[in-house]
Amino acid sequence: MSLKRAFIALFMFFALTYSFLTFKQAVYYRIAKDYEKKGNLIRAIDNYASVIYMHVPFSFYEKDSISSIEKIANIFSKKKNLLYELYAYEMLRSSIYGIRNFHTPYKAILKKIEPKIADLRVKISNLDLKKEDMLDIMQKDLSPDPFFSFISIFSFFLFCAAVLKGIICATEDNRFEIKRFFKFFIPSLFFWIIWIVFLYEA
Amino acid sequence: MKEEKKEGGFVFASFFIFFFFLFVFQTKFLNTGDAGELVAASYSLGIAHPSGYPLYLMISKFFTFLPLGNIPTKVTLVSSVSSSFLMSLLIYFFIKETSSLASGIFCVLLLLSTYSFFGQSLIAKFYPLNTLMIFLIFYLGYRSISFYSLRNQLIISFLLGLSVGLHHTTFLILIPLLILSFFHFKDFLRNLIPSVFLFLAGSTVVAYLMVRSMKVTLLNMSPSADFSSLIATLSRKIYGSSSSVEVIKEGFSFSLERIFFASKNILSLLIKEFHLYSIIFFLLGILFLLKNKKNFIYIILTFITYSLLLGYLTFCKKNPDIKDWYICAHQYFLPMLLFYAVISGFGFCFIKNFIPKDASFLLILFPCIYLPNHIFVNFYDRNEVVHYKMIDQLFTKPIKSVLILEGDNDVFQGWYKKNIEKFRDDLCFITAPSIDKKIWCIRNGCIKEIYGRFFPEIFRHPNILNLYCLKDYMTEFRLYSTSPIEKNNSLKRHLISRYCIMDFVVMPKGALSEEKSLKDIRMKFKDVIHYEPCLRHFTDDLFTKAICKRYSTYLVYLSRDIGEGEKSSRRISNITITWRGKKETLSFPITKENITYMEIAKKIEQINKTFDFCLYEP
Repeated sequence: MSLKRAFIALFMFFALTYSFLTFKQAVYYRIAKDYEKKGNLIRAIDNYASVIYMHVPFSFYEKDSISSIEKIANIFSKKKNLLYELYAYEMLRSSIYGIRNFHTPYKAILKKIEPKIADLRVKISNLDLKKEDMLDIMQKDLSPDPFFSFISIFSFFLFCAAVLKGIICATEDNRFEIKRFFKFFIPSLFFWIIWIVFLYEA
Repeated sequence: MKEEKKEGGFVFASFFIFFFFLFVFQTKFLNTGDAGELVAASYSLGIAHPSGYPLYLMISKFFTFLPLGNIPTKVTLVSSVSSSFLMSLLIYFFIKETSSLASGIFCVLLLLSTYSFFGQSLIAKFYPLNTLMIFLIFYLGYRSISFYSLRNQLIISFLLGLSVGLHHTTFLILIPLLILSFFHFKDFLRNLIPSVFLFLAGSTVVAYLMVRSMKVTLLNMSPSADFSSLIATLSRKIYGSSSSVEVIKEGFSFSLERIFFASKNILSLLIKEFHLYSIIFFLLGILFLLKNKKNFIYIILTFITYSLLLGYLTFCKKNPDIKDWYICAHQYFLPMLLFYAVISGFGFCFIKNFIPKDASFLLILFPCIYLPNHIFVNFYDRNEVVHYKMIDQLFTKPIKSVLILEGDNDVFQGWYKKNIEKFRDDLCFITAPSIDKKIWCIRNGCIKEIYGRFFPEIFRHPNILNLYCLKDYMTEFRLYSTSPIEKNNSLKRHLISRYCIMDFVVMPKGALSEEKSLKDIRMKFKDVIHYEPCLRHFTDDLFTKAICKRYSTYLVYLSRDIGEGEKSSRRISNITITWRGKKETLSFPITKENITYMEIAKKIEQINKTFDFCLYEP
């Protein structure tokens, strides 16, 4: 595949997924607004969270949905409905964690709402819990490091590509030429080692 | 040259058409079955159930780096992209081998019109990727039939090595490849050593399992840090009689009865997937292939391997039940569907020369007739049942509770929602494949490194989990179970369970059941529970339906709670609720308020009939 074609392929892939997810966002956003107008705030939260789940970069709907969920949470807070306030924040938090990619979008929002969630959980519970303990389990993250995992997996693909390239070059005359193969074997070994090291580090 | 460029452009464009089509229908949240586990394991670079599927997990993880959509959507892209790539490759295959673009399109539409291929392309599962790998190996072999190609032999060896990181059905392709090696026996033998070397190089993909087992990950279903546990994972030892070794052993025990029932089941599956008309194309395809005996032997043997032989190994019951159709027939036989479509594509090539152009155009589109039929039972884009079920199930539990999850469906979805999306991560999960068995586990649902200090009772004894340590949880309504605890013979002497919301609350025997408290809990969450997705999920997925039955159960209990104590001339008497083996008979008055819930429960039951499954006829 030529570089031009690869670029077109990548562009098309992004364009198709981006357009459909934006369409889905618009649909969920409209439904959420309807529910909000009708006063069914729980269902409004659900649909605002769905907007976030359909994440696309530079989306107007997402930012508005986040602030709408926060607004609804404040309404519940004023009404002293702690359970529903917790629901709003839990939904917001999990939808943000659910769209993690190379980085975590809206990290600032997470930083802001996690202490609130910990506080609400402690208040709702009848147990003698400490906010710090709750926050501690919320912030412990065993997810692999995105950078290391990317390097690791990319190296694995490069290892496969190097081996395949080695096979293609070493068999041009329908005979196996070890020397030619080893030209590619050394880089493939290098990528293999990178894969393993970063896989462990991730 | 110009024509070739045009065809290349068509193949290229076709990928995006197929991809967009599948993307529109694919799941945008989590689907049922293994999806929760596979998505969580992919994201966390963890390890899935045996045989671990490292290649699938790494490819899925790569997709999770995309800045589009949520994690399950991105992992499901592996299925939709694999299927789209496979379909484009099929078109390319037909252009190269028969110079007929029309035959390629016919083959692809025929394949796409099957329930299982279409359905599996829309969910997070490894079967489409597996099928793509099988076709790649098959195609390289096909190209080496007439002229021996060392390059193809070596690439096949490397791909077979990589396939150790996929589902084991890939290795059945070794049978047709063995025949192929007889065609070029000397050349094959001469290059056996580099082939073995490349196979081993590819199979180092399993090093993933060892390396990641040395780390604490968010999900590890098959710890394989040492060589013996790695072998146990790869051979799927944990599955006992269904382990890969046992299945192969069974394959060598000849049984005429098994052959008969496997053939019967396979024929029945083919007719359900392709409909009767396709048999004509299939037979004509066989006739067409007879022109070249080697090609004929290779293709037919591949088809027989993935139909009869696979059926003999996995689908040979006299009367397969709905689970066999759903788990086995719906998943394992994608390669059979693929090769049936390929042979039928050759059949189309044979017939198209004898009919007018217009008629051939209509024939190409004929399989599309069956597409809408499958779209409306595979509309995974609309299926939000699992997503909301997990929200309901977790949100209704008190803070710092323990939940005993039973069965893959609940367990896997729970792991994803709590470990990856961190929804209600103050809960601890104890998981059991079946509640009546002794193998209970906290490894992935209550990771010690996170919860060690928060749930000290659970980690007091390193290797033993005794529910007695949770006695305080029981008295405070903080121990729940997805199944009635009484199903476990040794526990039923000490514990009882009562239906709460979606699950059962577990209490010590003799404790007051406090029905009023349970009623209060149900009423408290009345406006949160999401039963609506069960009315509009547009899929005939059995596990989705099983989840929806939990909602109808909840709605009946809620109706009882609302109606109890009210004065009404109408009364529902003796409605029997059976949930996971526990029966309860309820009688209550019908009021203006609770009749709505009863009607919704009835609708949910009607829409989610267990035996309405495309491939199954009771």
